[in-house]
Amino acid sequence: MVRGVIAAKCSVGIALKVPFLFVGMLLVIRIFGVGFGRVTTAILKLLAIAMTVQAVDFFIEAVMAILAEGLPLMGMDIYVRFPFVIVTFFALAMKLFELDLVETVVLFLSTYMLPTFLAFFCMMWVYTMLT
Amino acid sequence: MTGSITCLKCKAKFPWQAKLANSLSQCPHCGNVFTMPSTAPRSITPSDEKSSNRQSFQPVTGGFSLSLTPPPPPEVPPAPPEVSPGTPPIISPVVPDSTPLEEVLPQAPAEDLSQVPDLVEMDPETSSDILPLMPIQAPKGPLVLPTLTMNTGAPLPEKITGEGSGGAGGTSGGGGGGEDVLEIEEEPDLEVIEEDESEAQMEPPTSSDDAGYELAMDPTPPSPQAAATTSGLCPSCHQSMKPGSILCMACGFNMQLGRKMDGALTDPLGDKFAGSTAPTSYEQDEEDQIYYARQTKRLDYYFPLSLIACSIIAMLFTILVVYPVENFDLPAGIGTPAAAPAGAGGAGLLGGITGGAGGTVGVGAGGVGAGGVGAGGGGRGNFRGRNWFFHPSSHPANCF
Repeated sequence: MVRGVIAAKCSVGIALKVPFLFVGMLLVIRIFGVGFGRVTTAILKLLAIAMTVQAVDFFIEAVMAILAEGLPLMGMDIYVRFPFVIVTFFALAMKLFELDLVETVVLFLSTYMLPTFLAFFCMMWVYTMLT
Repeated sequence: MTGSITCLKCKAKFPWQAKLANSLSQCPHCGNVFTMPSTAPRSITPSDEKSSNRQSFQPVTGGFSLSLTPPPPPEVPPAPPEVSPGTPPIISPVVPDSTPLEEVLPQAPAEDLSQVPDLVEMDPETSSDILPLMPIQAPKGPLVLPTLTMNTGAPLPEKITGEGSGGAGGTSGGGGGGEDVLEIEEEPDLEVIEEDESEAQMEPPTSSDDAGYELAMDPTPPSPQAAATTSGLCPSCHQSMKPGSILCMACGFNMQLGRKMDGALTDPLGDKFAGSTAPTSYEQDEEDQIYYARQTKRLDYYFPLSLIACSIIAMLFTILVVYPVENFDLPAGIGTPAAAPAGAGGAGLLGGITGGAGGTVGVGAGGVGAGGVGAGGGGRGNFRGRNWFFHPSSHPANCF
């Protein structure tokens, strides 16, 4: 049961990353005019990036949970997880799509920052609707 | 002396004025700037085709035209012009200098010059509202001047060809006394060039013109590839091409040349492959293309699929083996593990956190609840037993 929940959590994380990666890809194309190749191969590469990053993130999270021995980390493990996530994402994006650093930064921000902003605005919208 | 000057631009006539001789003058009608002749022309009229003996010509410089009046019956016997080979060709009829021009040339019909406006005297150094006279570039071809027939009856040479800036030579009509002198003041070396310009234009370019466009490979007959443009497929990479196009955008194959362009072969993958340099033969080029197609397929399909597979394996390993499921907080509403009795699991987890002495009691029990029921510190013991390879202190050897 617990493992199923963890697996579902990972799947949701991947499923949320791929659309935002696609939006980021369109944004990079719009801004820099970068060619991402065919749509099928581009989506395949985006899926590979999202799953790899999620796997690395999840593995670091598990290791941190083991090291904490059950103590609540209260989100502080992100300082350990995020460098690994950034390195993995940049390496894969620059390798698969042959992007330069600036284009990869835009893709990364659109993938990780855009969901945060959208979640924040959705939360604020729901809060205002309730009050 | 009287005479009129016709502006070539607007065909207006003006009286010749001695004070404006050899100075820049401007037509008050159209603003055309020209040099006033030093001597008054006998008569200035537009060219009249009806008059057989009167022909007009345009001077090389200046903006006026001179038309000579029809020659009267020769009062002075004609003589061939004296042109010395070493001196500038001053073409003039042999007329004694002492002979007044009025005796040589008949007086032109008097024109009413009182109605025409006066010319505007221009100072070439101070006037800024007019453009200075620019030297006219002589055409490259032979310069052919019309045959001039002076009033003396002596014809001028039919063709006078010039080279360089020889057109700058001024032409001044002879003044009233009968000295009509056609002077070519500059660049006297004139020669007739009999050259057909059409042949020069049809001459193919030399090889030096194409030296900067030499490509690396030897050209081959383009006939089989040229026919492929109508099929819509590149004969090299078999990618779709727009019918009628010359260059394949996928591989750089040039239909007209029958080979790939040099710029399309410069290390597309950045892997410093030996074939990225200019190929030396078509066989080598095909091998390079096979290599690049394989590399592209590897980068587009195999590598992402391998990453996805590795990610799935890594996540499954993390979920099944690494992740401490005992510490995972289930979301609210999902429920608690079924194997743990109410209250017992919590006690076991609490015992594990607080450092109970359960030790290896729970090893292999397979559940939080089981560990908790087994002993007070069973939770910790179970946790250590399943993850000993990640925590040195939880190794089974250290538990005893």
